[in-house]
Amino acid sequence: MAADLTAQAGRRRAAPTHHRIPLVGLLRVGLLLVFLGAWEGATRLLWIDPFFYGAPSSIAANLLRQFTTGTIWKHLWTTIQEALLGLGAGFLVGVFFGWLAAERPLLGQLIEPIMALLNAIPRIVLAPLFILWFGFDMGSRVALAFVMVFVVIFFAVYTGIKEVDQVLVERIRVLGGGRRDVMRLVYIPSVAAWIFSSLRLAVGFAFTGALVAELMAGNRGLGYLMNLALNGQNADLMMATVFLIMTMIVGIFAIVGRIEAWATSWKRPG
Amino acid sequence: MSMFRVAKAEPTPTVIRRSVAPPSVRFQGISQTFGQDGPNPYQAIAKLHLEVSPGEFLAIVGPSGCGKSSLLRILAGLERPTGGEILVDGQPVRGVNAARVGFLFQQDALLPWRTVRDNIALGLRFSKEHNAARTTGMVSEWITKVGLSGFEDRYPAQLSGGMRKRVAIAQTLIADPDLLLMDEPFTALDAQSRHLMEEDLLALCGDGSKTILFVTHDLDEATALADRIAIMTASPFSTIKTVVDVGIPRPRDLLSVRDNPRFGEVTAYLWHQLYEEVRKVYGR
Repeated sequence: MAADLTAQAGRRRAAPTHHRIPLVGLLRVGLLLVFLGAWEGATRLLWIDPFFYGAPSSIAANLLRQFTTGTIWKHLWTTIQEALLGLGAGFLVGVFFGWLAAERPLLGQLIEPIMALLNAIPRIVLAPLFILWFGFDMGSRVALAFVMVFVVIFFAVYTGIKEVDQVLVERIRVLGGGRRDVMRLVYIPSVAAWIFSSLRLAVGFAFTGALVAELMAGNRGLGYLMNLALNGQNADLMMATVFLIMTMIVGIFAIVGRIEAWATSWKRPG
Repeated sequence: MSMFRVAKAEPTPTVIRRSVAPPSVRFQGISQTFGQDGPNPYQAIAKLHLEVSPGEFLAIVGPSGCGKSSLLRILAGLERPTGGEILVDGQPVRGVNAARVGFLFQQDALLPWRTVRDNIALGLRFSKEHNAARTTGMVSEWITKVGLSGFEDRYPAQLSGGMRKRVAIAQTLIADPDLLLMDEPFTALDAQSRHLMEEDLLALCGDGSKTILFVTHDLDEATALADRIAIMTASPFSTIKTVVDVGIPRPRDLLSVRDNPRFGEVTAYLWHQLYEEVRKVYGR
């Protein structure tokens, strides 16, 4: 029977799913090219106004220029730095308070409604308030990224601990494990699974927070570039910045996805 | 095909055999009230007495909710009774005793983020005289014994229900407990797997080397496996209604045990006794 199952598993793994991907991939690239071509053509023929919509060629030229002159790096680095700082702080504080609220029921009952309120409102509206409090510089951006992330991580940890399977806890105890073993083998992995399942959301929120705060005030970062483009009515710069932000987020999500897949490989059947 | 390759000789000569005989168990006036401090306390078990001899295989049957599982949990040290005491070899139970007591849950309760190998090794790693090399050897041995060779590095999500149950069995028996508690361990399995598991359980533990308490709602299973069967009354205030001697000699063959005239007598009697209790529940 064992051999049987192994053979089956082997067959499943060898299934030629990856043969289909190049075709879909080609079609996707083709669709993108058709879209860009139509856009370019429409602006050349002046069917649409390149002043408002830009053109793929001039957007690309704008991007190239920013990279060759190197002006883009400080903005890119600023945004990434702010988002990561907000993410890190939100993660640490979220884990701490999530844990505390789950461990101390009275405290949990006090904190939960506040957190639920913070969770329900679009926290991005706090941006002007943070700019007022923390100024036009990094402080306000990190603060906004932080508050975006903190609530997500808090609930991941808080619910994660409350939802820990008590049967597993008892199983460890029955097998002779102590409190530390229960923590190490049951609580931490359960909570980690919850955190990993909301990691993508948290990372996205961190960048949203940093970018929106930049958009509103300051003189650095990709959000600032957007604001600059708006004030200068520069559609090429605006489109180039949007493209850059999207590319950056896609790249970061790919990394996060890898980490998540690695950390939760035990969930995958077969 | 047997899932366990049972060797006649001692399976692991490296194991330090600590005790001479399996323990006796004595439930002395056990009471269990849930929600004692709340507005609606519920006394599930009332002054229950029961004795289990060393090496005996005792099945416990009863209407659902009668507190069968609670009895095992109290004996394992997971729950504290609100009244009475349990004595194991004359010593009152104080908390979990993993070195001596093995407990197989209804759920397989494996750590989903640990491989088959790591799950089986858990109990040994918790023990004070843990020795990494010996643990590795014993785990491999048990993986073979429960027919999971080739699956050592799989995670529970990648196994069938029967395979997971076998991991749980290896996890429980690897520490060689001489008091084995089982709470409807095979309920979730299909009929064929269940039959194989029961056979292997008898092969591994049916020789009187362990004292076994086996909770089930399946009267055929109870009769086929056990030396004696305790019937519990309906809850609240449940207690032992009567204890039946199965009286079918060992070693037993699970296929032919049903042909023994005693088998029919015992199950018929159990049905009759249990029916009265179930009617009480519905008669209310």
